[in-house]
Amino acid sequence: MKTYPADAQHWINGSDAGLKLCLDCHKVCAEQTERCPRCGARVHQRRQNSIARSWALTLTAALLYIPANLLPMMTVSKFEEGQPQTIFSGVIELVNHGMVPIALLVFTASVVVPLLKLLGMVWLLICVRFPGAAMHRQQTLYRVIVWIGRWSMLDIFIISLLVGLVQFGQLGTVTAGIGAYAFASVVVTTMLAAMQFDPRLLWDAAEVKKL
Amino acid sequence: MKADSLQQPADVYSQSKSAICPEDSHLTLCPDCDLVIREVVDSDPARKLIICCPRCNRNLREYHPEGLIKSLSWVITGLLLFLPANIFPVLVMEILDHQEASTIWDGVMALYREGLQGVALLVFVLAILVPGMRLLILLFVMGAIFQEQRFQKWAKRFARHLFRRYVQLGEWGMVEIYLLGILVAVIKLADMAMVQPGAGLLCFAGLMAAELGISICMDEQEVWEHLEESRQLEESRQLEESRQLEESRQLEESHENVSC
Ligand SMILES: [Zn+2]
Repeated sequence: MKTYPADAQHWINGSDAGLKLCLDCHKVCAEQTERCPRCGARVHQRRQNSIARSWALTLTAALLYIPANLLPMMTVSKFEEGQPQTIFSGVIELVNHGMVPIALLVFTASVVVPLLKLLGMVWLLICVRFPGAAMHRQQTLYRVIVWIGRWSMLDIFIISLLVGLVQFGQLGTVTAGIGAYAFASVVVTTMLAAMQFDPRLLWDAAEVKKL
Repeated sequence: MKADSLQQPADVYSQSKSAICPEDSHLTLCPDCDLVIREVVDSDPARKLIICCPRCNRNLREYHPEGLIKSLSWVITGLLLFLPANIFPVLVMEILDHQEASTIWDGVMALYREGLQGVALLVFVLAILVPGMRLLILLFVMGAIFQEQRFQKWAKRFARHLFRRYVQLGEWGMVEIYLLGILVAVIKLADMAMVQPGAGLLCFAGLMAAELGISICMDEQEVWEHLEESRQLEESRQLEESRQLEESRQLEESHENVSC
């Protein structure tokens, strides 16, 4: 195995070398190129208005997170009229039925992950503003956020399945609640916020600090 | 990871900036940290190879031996499974002597009837539309690569456009999450009634396996390189044609001059 320069001094960034990367097809383009000759996408040195858009979407998601947790997601009526369930009361009910692993899974996917994602995005956005030395950790955090975000959609799919299956059944009905709207919006907006964020800004910020 | 695979950090430029020219085909930038990298895939083509960024550790490309043909077979498998996965019920519930079955589409329609049209649309897009579109796009793109001569110029341009959409849609296909949702729903309903997985579930699981196979075997950069190659070929052919046209016209003109 070869050895590589351990100090960052030798490393050259694309922005210093007058190059930019097409984020759709990863073609290296010259600085003055506007559209990628290979895939036709607009090429920018960094994502456009990355920080502002990321902040806007993260804050929107944070606001939507409140109704998503307070409004009922679904109502399960067996023989009598059922009580509307929020995400949390649904998890409690699962625990009461002795399904602890499933309760843990749903709790993680629907409550913990969106919250940690929001906090993580805010943390990254603050890090860009006040750069430190922990770029590697921030980069890992960003990758985790991008990877994990989609899994929050789990609860929406479960509701869709239950509503479709137990609709006119003899043992009751399951109806979806308005909270599902808010929750789905939280998942989509956090995903968009993570996509708008440009991790290269973290490395830029660290470099500026060094100089 | 298998023993015949290799993970290695890519080379970096340690020379001066002037040595870097954008025409170098080995030159890439790390999409996560913008590092200038010299990427040379020179190893044994029978081995799996993962090249990663030396600074931020991002996987730059994952070369898989015979990756394209393997992913084409996964694409075809996925397309064959796509229709039955959506037609057959994923869950079957038995109550007394009565059976109720539900497909993915039933779930979408139920949400729609409940007045949650937006959520219904979202489930439709994430669980049905995007996975199906991605497979169709790949079939077209693979066709443009393997049957290069038969594809017209516009079709090749369209393939490049489509593959770009494929890359962009990556996050939005959620087959594996839907599958987990089915499993949770089965367990949730278990105390209410007898719930059995339907035939659709099996096909859906197969669809997920196909997506996994594609994500493992297909090196997106390799696909782009093939598409780029055919574009450059097309361009040079066009250039040649126009040059010949120009030459013959000049020849004619000189003939006319001589005759005058
Ligand atoms: Zn990197």
